[in-house]
Amino acid sequence: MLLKNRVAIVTGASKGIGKSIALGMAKEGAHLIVNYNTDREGAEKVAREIKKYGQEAVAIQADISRGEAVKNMVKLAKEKFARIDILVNNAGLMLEKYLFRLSDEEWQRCMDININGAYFCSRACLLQMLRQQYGKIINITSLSGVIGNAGHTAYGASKAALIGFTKSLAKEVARKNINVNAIAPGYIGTGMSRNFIRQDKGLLDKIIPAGRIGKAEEVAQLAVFLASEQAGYIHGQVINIDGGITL
Amino acid sequence: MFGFKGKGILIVNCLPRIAQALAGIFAEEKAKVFMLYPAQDGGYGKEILAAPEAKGLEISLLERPLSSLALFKRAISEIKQASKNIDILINYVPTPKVNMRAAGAGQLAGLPFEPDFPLFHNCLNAVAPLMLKKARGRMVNVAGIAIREYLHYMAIRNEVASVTKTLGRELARKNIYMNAALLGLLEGEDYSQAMPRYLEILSLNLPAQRPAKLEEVTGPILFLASDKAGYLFGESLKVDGGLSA
Repeated sequence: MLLKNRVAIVTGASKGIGKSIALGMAKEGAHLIVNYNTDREGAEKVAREIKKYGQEAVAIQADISRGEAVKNMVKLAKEKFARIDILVNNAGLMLEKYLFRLSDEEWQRCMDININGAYFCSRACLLQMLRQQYGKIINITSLSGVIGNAGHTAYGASKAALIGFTKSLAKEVARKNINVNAIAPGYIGTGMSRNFIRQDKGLLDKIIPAGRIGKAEEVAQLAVFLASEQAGYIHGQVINIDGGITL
Repeated sequence: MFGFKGKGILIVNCLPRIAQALAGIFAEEKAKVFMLYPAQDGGYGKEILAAPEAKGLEISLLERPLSSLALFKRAISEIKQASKNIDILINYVPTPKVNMRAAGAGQLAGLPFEPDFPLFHNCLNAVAPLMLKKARGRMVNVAGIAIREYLHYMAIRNEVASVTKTLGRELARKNIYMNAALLGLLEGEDYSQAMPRYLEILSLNLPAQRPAKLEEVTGPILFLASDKAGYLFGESLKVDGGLSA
């Protein structure tokens, strides 16, 4: 098992890519904190499923855009498991709107969740990781943060910020045996991008070299690899998992 | 663990320590493993096969002339007779062990800059048709360390990354996964001749502040060679301790 007895926090793990990552890590032996904001039922279902694999799991509510809520979540996690080995900053808000239609509040909410959320969670977990001299932080960014996308000005900007965050933090903590990397998924068949994919399916099939949309499980396997010892020498990288679309 | 059972695996021109470790893991998972080296670089045999043989693992080592595409195809055809398929190719581009620091263009003249791109390209040309015929396969291109001041290192790394991007896109629709692992400093290797400044680089520019352990290099190559690397096409995974971050 690649992650035997490791303790992982996955934000936004009640559904979609976050759920798949949480389950993928549990299958490899990790205990999980399944973070959610509003979908309590979904998160508890994921936690129950993880327990079937023989791992411990707890669903914890926290709005990651609020620093105090994140601190409480991390405190509860430490009380329960005494350590935090892996943090997956997955929770995100996808906003599809042209810039001239975007309100200030929408822009701010996108930034609050997608970049400030990663900042609050990383900072709260980092102290424990530094004490342990071990940690893996995986940020889920996006194709939109790498190559941009019309209608994704706020979303793309927040995800591009997450890439800068990843590279800088990686350089800060690499010598402390903490790996910080990012995954940039392309079109993945999950709830967040389902509408977008449905509208553009014909076009997507043409523009994706692989000729298909990705699966959340495929993103999860990459996250499991990055969280494992095998990826111990990978720091500050952004790995595009997009069927070759960014080539 | 990686699901290599029964697969035909070809490792070409790989740094012996890495080849040995990879071949051992592939063979332990009951894959059919072939290692191919250009004949003029002979003498690898004992060094590479010693550890796997000690564990009772079966690995075939071939040292053949590989200086042209025709010769490469002949070697591949020989391997194909022994194994029905070549499902996975690990195509390594070695870095010449000479100091070629280029401070200015004037210094480039007369330098023995001959990276083995033909061998790298011929290998892809010889193996790709087999995979295209089966409409499946995985290719992992591997390049050694690259540091800005060392021209030949950067040239090799960029070539591998570019070929991986371009061919990765072409082959994606045919269910063939091509990705690359771009490596950094490796524990136990001697860089003093090729990169006299490597200790300075290590202390000033390398976020990890240490070279990679062997398993930290083989791990990413094995991941890219496995079905666990789904939906990754044309990616160059930089396994370099954050040097290129």
